Amino acid sequence: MRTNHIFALLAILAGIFAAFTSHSVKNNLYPTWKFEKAHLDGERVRYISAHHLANILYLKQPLTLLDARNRKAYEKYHIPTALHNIVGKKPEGGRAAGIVVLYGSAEDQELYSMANSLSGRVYVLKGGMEAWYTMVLFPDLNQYRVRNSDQIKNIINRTGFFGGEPQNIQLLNINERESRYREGC
Amino acid sequence: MELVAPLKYSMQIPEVTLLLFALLTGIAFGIFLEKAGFGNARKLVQQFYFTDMRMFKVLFSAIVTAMVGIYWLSYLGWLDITQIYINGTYIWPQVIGGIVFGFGFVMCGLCPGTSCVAVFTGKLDALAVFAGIFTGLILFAEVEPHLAGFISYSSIGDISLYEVFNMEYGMLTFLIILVALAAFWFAGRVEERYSRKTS
Repeated sequence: MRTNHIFALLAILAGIFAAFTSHSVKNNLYPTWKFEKAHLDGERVRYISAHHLANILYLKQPLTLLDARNRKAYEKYHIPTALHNIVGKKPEGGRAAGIVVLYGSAEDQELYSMANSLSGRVYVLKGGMEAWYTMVLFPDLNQYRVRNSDQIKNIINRTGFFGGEPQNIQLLNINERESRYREGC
Repeated sequence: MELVAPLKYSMQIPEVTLLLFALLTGIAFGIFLEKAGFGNARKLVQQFYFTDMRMFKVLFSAIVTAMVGIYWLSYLGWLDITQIYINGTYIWPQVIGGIVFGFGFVMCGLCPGTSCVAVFTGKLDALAVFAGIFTGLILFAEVEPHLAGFISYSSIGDISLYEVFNMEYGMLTFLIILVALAAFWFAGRVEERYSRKTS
């Protein structure tokens, strides 16, 4: 066996083992993880993270957003472009094709059942409105594993776009972090 | 104290020591490039005629080695993956930059790294490339403020392939390894065919 073949075999083995470790999911290495699937009480639920939902809305990509909370909560505040949708009823204002995102105050069985009853690629907002408040509207920058100032700027711009305000921004010296992370060629 | 790479954060290594490490790494990198024959423009340019795919194989091997290394070091808790700097993705500026770079590479047979090596082995063509690189850098620095709108226009942040493909990093590592091995095999076949044609 040639040396090349041995290295190729080692690489394949390293890759196969890596494929089965689920290291990044288990260790929450990627807080902006886009979509995930779970099986709850036999029902398949598709999730979308608040970060990813915010990015989709920020970039004005097509999406149908349904608010499953009560009318009062919806009128008080709802995620921009969301249509009001009471559990068990058809959404107001019609439906667009493509991704459908459903959210409530929190996640519950009723919401999961509703997501499964709707047609198309339906996602439930992971963490509900609470996630929207803490991750998009009032993100605590101390909690972020930011890699550079571009990322911080993006978070700040996005938060401003949705009318929120980042928390603990004064604790970050962006220039200092910039010099710390500006590496590579 | 927990020793987790990058060591400059967990060990509070002074800037001067880091620069020394960078110098030593740079020297080692240069030696390996020269030993692999990458300081020779004639050899490098053969890649574009498909007669010597060495550069492609070496660079893809380096990517795969780094990818596997980063993954397993992170898995073992020796490397904090979130502390690694990732260049932002600016689609159109990078497409245009890539085309300009490609033209330059084909015409002069050297890229920035290999031109440095070639300069220090006394090659005059590399000196011209080196001068061109610095002229380009200065020009860009002067023009860049006027291009800010264009540069930020197609910025999509510092995203990685796992985000684009919505995939677990380990699975992505495995797939890239398979792609690399297939590419090496294919490059070998192409090399064989074109070498036979030209000989």
